[in-house]
Amino acid sequence: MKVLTKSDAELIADIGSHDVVARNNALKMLYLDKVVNGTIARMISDYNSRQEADDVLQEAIILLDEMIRSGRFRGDSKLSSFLIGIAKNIIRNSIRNADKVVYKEEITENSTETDGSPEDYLLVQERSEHEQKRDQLLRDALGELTARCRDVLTLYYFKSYSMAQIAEERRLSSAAQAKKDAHDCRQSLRSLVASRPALSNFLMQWT
Amino acid sequence: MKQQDIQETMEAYLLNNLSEADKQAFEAQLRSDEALQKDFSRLQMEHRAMQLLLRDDLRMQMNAWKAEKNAAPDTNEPAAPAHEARRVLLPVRWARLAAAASILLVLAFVANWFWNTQSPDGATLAAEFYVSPPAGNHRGESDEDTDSYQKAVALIQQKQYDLAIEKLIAIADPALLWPARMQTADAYYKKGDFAKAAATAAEVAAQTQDPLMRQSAEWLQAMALFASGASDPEWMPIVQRIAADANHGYQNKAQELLKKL
Repeated sequence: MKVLTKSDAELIADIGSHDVVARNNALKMLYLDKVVNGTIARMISDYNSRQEADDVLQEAIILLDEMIRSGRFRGDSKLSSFLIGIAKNIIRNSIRNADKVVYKEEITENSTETDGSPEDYLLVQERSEHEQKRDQLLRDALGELTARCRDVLTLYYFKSYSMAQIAEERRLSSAAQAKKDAHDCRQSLRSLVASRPALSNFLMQWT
Repeated sequence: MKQQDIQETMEAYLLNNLSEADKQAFEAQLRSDEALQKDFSRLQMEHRAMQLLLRDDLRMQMNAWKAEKNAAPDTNEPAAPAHEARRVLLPVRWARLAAAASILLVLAFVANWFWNTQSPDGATLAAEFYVSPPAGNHRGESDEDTDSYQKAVALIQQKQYDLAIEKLIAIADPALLWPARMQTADAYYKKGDFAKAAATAAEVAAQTQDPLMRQSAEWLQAMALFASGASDPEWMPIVQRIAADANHGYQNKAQELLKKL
């Protein structure tokens, strides 16, 4: 197993970049980090948790990735400590359907000391049953998209709609071609979502 | 604000790319505009779908890294001293043979049990892979036919298949013809009349101009034939063709079914 060799700043920059290779390498480094893996395994044992260490780590990495890419990560602790903090939250609270990491002060509107351990000032939010049902319906709809469209939309979303980058990634003739591909696939997704009465109920409940 | 500007603003909001001022302005507009709320809600749904895609993609990556890590030899462990390996060779060899024989015996027993209890019949397996065709929000030129279509869809959900079929067959509006035939096929299938389901779905697949509807019809036809106990040459080529078509919405299901068989 590897030990982190890049600085936190470099890892955060890579994860937040639109460069697929750089981001994957950075996340791989975190995923294989010896200290992170060992600490999670120990926490599972300490809390007598039935969760699998690898499942917890994967969920924590997904949440961290989203936090960094959305610009919400403040970087006020070591990256590996923050990742462990997310994992500890998941283990300690037996969270099965983790959805988002927030800073506690975003919810309580009280300023929270960030000098302590990350698990003290962050919170892992779970999906409600309603949201789980919605996601299941969305996954069913996504299952009906072509594999090509799934790839296009994954890249499209990851790159936050940068057509030039998508064109380069997919070796297309132009950004215009990438835009057409993305447009067609989004249209397919839109039709699939619109054609499901059950999903329409979730739309109405949101408004 | 132009429609395109609104769309771009909503996208930027969801991606957290708006300035604080623009974000607050958008939220204020959203609070007071019901039509905007609906559009925004639909867009949120699409974003959520794409977020799920990205998460699944990352999970697959991590599983691949895990497999790579497990496959790599561990170079940190010291090799066992040679004399110990020689000393235990003979007894270990017989123990290994006995263990291998026991494992084979257990595997044979499990395979036999699995085959006898798990081999599904066509109808059961088809039910596992069957996907109800989407009803959609189809509207015809005739309000009466549109109303009939929507009522028929509701009747199918209430398992009143004969009444649903009666309504659907009576629809003459050209804009609703193929959606109605598609739902008719679905009603026949759920009623257990697989032959009629297959025939109706085949008609839709051959005639509709809507590629998504054609794909649904092809899959329904295949499942109906399979469920009816039709011979392999009748349904297998359809499933194989779908499994080989990367642009087909049911490719994954077809591949899964072939694997299961």
